[in-house]
Amino acid sequence: MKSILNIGLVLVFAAGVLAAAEEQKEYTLAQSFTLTDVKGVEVTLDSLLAVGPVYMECWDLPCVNCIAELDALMPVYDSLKERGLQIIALSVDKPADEARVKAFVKSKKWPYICLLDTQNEVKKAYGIIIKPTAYLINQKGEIVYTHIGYKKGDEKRIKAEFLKWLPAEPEEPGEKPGEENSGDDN
Amino acid sequence: MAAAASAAELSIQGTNRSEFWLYKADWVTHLEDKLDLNLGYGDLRGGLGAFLYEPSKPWNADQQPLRLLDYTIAYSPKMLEVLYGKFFQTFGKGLALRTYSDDDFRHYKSLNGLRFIGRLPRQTELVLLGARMRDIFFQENTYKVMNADSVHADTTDQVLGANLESRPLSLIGVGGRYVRINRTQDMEQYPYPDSWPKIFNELYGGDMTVTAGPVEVYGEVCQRLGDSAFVGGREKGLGYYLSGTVAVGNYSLLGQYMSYDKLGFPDVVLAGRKTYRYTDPPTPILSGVAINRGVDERGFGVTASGTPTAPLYVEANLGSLVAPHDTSKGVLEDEGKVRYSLGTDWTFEAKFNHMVQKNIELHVASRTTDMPTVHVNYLLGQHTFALEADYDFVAEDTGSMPTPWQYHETAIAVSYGYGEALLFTVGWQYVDMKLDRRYNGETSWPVFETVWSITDRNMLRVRVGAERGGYTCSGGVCREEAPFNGIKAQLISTF
Repeated sequence: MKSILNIGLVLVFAAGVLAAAEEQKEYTLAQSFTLTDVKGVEVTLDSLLAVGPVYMECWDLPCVNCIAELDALMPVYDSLKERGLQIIALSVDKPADEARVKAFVKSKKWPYICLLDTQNEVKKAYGIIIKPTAYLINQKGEIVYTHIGYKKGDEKRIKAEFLKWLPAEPEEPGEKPGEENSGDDN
Repeated sequence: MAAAASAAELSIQGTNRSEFWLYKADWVTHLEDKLDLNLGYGDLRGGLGAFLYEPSKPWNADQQPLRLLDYTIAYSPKMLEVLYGKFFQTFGKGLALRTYSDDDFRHYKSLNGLRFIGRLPRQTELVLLGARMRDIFFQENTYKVMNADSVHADTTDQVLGANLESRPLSLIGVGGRYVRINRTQDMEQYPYPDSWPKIFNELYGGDMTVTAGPVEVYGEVCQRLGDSAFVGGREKGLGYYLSGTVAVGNYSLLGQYMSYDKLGFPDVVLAGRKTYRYTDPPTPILSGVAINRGVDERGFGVTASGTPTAPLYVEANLGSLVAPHDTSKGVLEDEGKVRYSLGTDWTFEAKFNHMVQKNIELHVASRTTDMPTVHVNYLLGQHTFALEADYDFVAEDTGSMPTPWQYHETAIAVSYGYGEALLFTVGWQYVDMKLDRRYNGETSWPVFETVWSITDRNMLRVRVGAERGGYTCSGGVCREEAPFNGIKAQLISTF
């Protein structure tokens, strides 16, 4: 009986996958979520996307490369935050380490939105199994870029992806269109 | 609802990890695949998970294939969630209940059953669940379902739980919980000394968080009522955890204190059976070493960290765990770390870890390690260079040796990366003494690894060579990793 139920559920899911494949767009839709940040404030993905695209990186305290990527993105974020870029540092540390995470984030002075995914609901919903894994989500809620792993220098390529999805910089008086991003990739 | 459903779009996300190992010595293979698929359609969510583990034959009692199929169905509008299937849940900081998926350590402790979540204003959340646990653990190069039978002494008994958390005021958070574990095995089926810890156990407790400016204080208490071996009465356990954080400017100071007495089931050691627990309370030891995970532990931890100037980060940690009822056991760890970025091209990190373990590992009375570690990263255009090295000074005593062993363990890895897609690493591990009790008497383990990001969603990792293995811990769970010599290939796909 249990086998029949399992097979039936598999068939239902398979049908759903096939149906989705037929109408699958180029980009995957990001699942919405609500989490609490390190200051105890509730944050929803939808509210962030109303402001601008979101780059969400999954990290935890033992992940040296995750922390290196978030450190390396600080100047990138500083240069693009006025254009609406938002970066989420999604901590998937266990609940027992919540105090250490908060102390670490406060001493790091990261300018990001630091969310606590202590139940790993978002990690599971996004299928994250390797750290760091990061997603760039556009304002339509679509995952337009995925970055797995990190090594020094990746932040330049990540910035290039950001620039594809951010609104153009406001034109300076007398500036011709198309000149605003030239030579700005370092 | 129909209008909302017609406006909803189907989202499909998932990850697949495939691994293939080939052991050089006897051409034994290990094939593994883990697929996680997540579907979302409006307020409906679904999940499908497949796990496949196929060791090459001949199979024996300790090495069997594992083929698992899991599903999750949930209805999850904004204010509530009703879920049936496989899920993970932790109450509070884990003193009463913690289940989790740890891909790094390959430990999957899941619940399967029914869960209800209700969300109310003031960050109020009520969780009710009724489920059974499955504990999959990877050790000695094989996966085992730890609670598949009575020999491995974890349990498939039923878990019922309730957890309520709220933030009635912005400065104060409170929580309360209750967990009951019901025996499902017939008491007459097994000898009495084995079955009595499983009759039923109740854990209940609460927590409070107070935040005032730069200060945050958290306290949690949990009591366990189990079954007594004697007529009448209940076996009692008690645990509490306290933490306090002060953050001023670019600096923070964290203090933790914990005391756990029989939160886990008592240590019934009979014919190889081990302590059983659904709990996983905090440990102050960064290396993940614990004594007996909530059965008899008391300890504290202090962490000071800060960013004096933008490119410089410093951190110091001190942690201690003792077993009050068995003073021969204990762990002391202190660690200091410095990280410095020189411009955008150089990053330096230096760390020093000192640890003393007493009667933590089997047949090891004491083990003292002093380990300096250095990481250097350098970027030159499209080229990335990295060096990682550590040198461990080890003193080890089994308790019956005239003089302790003193030896040194070295690990060094040099990496080169080109662009976004390629990374090559050459590594070498070495121990300067032939240790019959560790590492099968081997002393040198060279390895070569390449990582190829085929696309932004697909990563292939191939590793050829040897791995030292050894005693490895994560979050208080330890295992003995067997040495490896051969080829490992791993493909990770995100979609």
